[in-house]
Amino acid sequence: MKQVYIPFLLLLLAIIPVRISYGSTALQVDNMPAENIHIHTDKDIYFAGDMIFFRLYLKTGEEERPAHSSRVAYLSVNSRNGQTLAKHEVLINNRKAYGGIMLADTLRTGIFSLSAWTSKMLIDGTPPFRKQIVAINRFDAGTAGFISENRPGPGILSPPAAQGMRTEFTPAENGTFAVTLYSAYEDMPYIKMEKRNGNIVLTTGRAVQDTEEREITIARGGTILWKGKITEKDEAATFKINPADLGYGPLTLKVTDDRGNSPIEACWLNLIPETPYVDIFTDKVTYGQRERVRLTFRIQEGRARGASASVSVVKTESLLHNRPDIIQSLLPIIDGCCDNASCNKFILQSAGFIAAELMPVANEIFPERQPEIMIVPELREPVISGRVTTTGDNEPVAGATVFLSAADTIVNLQYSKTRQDGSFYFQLNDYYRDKNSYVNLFMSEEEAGRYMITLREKFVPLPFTPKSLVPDKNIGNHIEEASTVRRVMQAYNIRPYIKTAARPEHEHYSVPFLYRVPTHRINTADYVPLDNMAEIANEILPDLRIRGRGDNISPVVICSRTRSYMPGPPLFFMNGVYVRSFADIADMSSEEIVSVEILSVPWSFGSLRLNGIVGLFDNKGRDGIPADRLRTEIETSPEKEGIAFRKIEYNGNRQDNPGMPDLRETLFWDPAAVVNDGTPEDIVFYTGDLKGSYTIMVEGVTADGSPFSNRIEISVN
Amino acid sequence: MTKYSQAILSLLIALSTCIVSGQQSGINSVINDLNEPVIYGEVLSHHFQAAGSQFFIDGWSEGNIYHENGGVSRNKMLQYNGYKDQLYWLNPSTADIVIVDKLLVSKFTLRMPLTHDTVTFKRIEPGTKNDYGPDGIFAQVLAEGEYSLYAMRKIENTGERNIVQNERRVTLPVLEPRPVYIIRCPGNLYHRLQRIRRQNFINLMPEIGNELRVALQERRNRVRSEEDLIEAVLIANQLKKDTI
Repeated sequence: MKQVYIPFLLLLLAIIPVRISYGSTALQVDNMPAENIHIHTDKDIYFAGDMIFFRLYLKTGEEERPAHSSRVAYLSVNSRNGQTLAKHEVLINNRKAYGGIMLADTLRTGIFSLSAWTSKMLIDGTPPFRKQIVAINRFDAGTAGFISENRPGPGILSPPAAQGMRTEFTPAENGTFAVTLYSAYEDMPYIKMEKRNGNIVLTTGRAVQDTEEREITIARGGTILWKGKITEKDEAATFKINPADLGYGPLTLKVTDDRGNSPIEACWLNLIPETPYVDIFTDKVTYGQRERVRLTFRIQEGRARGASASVSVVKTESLLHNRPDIIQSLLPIIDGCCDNASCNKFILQSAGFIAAELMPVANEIFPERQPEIMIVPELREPVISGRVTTTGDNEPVAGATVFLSAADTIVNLQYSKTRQDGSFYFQLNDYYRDKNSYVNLFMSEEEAGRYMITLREKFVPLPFTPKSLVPDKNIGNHIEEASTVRRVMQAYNIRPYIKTAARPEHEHYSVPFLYRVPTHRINTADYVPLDNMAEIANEILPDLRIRGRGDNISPVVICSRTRSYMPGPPLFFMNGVYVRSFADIADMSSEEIVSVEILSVPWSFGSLRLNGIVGLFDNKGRDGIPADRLRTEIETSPEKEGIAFRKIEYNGNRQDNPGMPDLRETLFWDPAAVVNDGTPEDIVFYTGDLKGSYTIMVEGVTADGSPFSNRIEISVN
Repeated sequence: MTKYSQAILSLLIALSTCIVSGQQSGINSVINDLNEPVIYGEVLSHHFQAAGSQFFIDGWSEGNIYHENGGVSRNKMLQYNGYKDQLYWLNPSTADIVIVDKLLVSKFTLRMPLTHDTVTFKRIEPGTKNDYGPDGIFAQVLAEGEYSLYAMRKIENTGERNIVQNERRVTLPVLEPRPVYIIRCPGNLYHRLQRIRRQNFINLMPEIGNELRVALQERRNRVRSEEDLIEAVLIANQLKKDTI
């Protein structure tokens, strides 16, 4: 028995120290709930050079404690081989974020993946959110062919028989599929399932010689949710089932005879929740060009009153029928028979039935390829991390001091001591936004030669296997029309977005001062020109002396309190950035330097003790900083400014701006629709000049964390 | 399953939990480090010798520094020099005494050595820069509300004393505590109490003057000591609340 207890003792020892050390600390990873992400994009089919408008939803499962959730999310657009084509770092505020990602206008026609994740998801091994988008380059030949090549092939339309049972997917008018289930025996009935007018329509048919009575059941687990009967006389029977009655999750359809045999048994997934939570209404169904559309919502009785939502109104053809909606992304799917590989799998989503193989797969783990650097959750600001290793054998260097400083007009510094594994971490607040920031080792030139810094790349390659596209039936015409639209918009220089100032959350941050007030501040222009730093120091800089000659040159600061030399050289900064070697700036003349700040007292900065600080400034910013082999520039991809959808309004007069074409495919995009006490504010937008069918899509999350999604169509004639 | 295989399974579970716990503890440690604000300032390089203490509390006390940027440095060894109005931090990494940059500090706490009570000092800017310097002053918070009472724990030079040190006669300044009481009235108006007197105190609060006089008389509070003053400010706050 003793042997059995020892592991349990180990287990206790493993757990207890963590609880004791961090039990009372608010910020700790074991306190953080699991996270998941959904991205609502305005559409699915883009053109090279388009802006992807997105809204990010972060689901934590603990809606009341946003402080314990990630503050930073990463979005990337990847090609199928994983290459990152666009990257974006976005700050999450109250579990939401929105903005725009520009697709390069040189992008080749193809299927791409839009991925999103947080550091917490990486720590937990939660797969990133992924959806596939299509980018079309109008200069590529055969774009229509590209769509047809990527439509579902025979393998999906007629998948291999499972347990002798055969399934066929017949393309329907709206781009989804009618599913027909055939028994392994030819004299048995077959069942055809399709979605019509919001209902599942189930039609049975049977061979002439088959006259047996049979029961059809739809069940989840052991619970029968719907039951129908084919009597002896029926040659064909039709049943209508409300998918909401079946509830969200996996289902089993069975046809059983009197003897209990089941010639047909199929598993499928219902992605339609019990109620849509929000109903959408428009004042009309058909509109003219440049006409006002009033959109109203009604939140259903008995649901949580608070909600956060996003709304898009786009050309129906620019959406794929197999796009993941928010319910699919954020509602956990209960394990069921759909995980059984030998089972016939298909999915019912709001548009209709599709084969399971058409849905983007989210169950692939993020391929983090830098396991040697521990990932930490980003609860307040983005975190950058890296490793210091020896140049020869790549051994980790513990206890080294790494500096982070940004090119600026003030001397700024953060430092990090490397851990046992050589790793270091910095938190970047908004001070670093739009600044060139660098990490460097705080050590002498001679020592530094033996080491190297490697930064952890946040955007690693994310390869994916594209799924077949389920586009609208008019996709061919749409691509032609959209190509023309792009040409016209380019000619008139019309952009569907506007750049806005940084959002308010970026306005307040603390500056990482190394010191506030220097002992002396000297403007070199007030003095006669001097040839080098030695002359500048000895002639015009109080308290800085340059001793020695040639290679033995060494600077030293005289303490302004005791008037004695400090025991070591001061720290030099050029335009706010740490300069390791005085030799790199020794030859600078007073004409190259605008001003000099000297802090001539012994200075304590955290665990560092500095023998004075000298800050030099010129007008060249980052270009004025001398080269350093070890200095590594940080690459970040923060949103530089806000991107907002450009709304167009007409004053009820169709002749407004008659000379300016209005060829918007996205008529409206609001990533943060206002929902006051359960009543969303009415939305007003205007149709443009493009005729056709438009889909209004609302996605959101209630205050209690339930995702909801709904869509309706309007047409413009 | 045999006992042996049960033990192996338990060991594997224990080991995997160890790894997970270790990783979590590593992550927590990084999170704490990242959110630990940096304290900076001049290293104290010359010591001022005097007869009498320059400090609010002799010796180091444990306390927290609340930074202007919202960060908190907890459980640091601190000392407040009332003669120079400076906060000292004993840097454990270098054993240096650091004069904490005043602009860094929003407030700090000190644990009293005998009572283990915690006293709070706040950086306030109660008058013009000429009166109190460009960076404001540290003042002990005695009561806060609509009316707040702060005590500037000033230590002043009150004379000179000759002592023999290392067989040499040296003249040292004599330092004595001379607290200055400051009252903050609504509208962020600061008043320095020249003398602790009931009438002086009531004059600062004309809008509740009569009620305050009655209340102080009822409690036989003549506003002659620091304790009286604290009680008087609490009464004034209650009266102000009642009038609202």
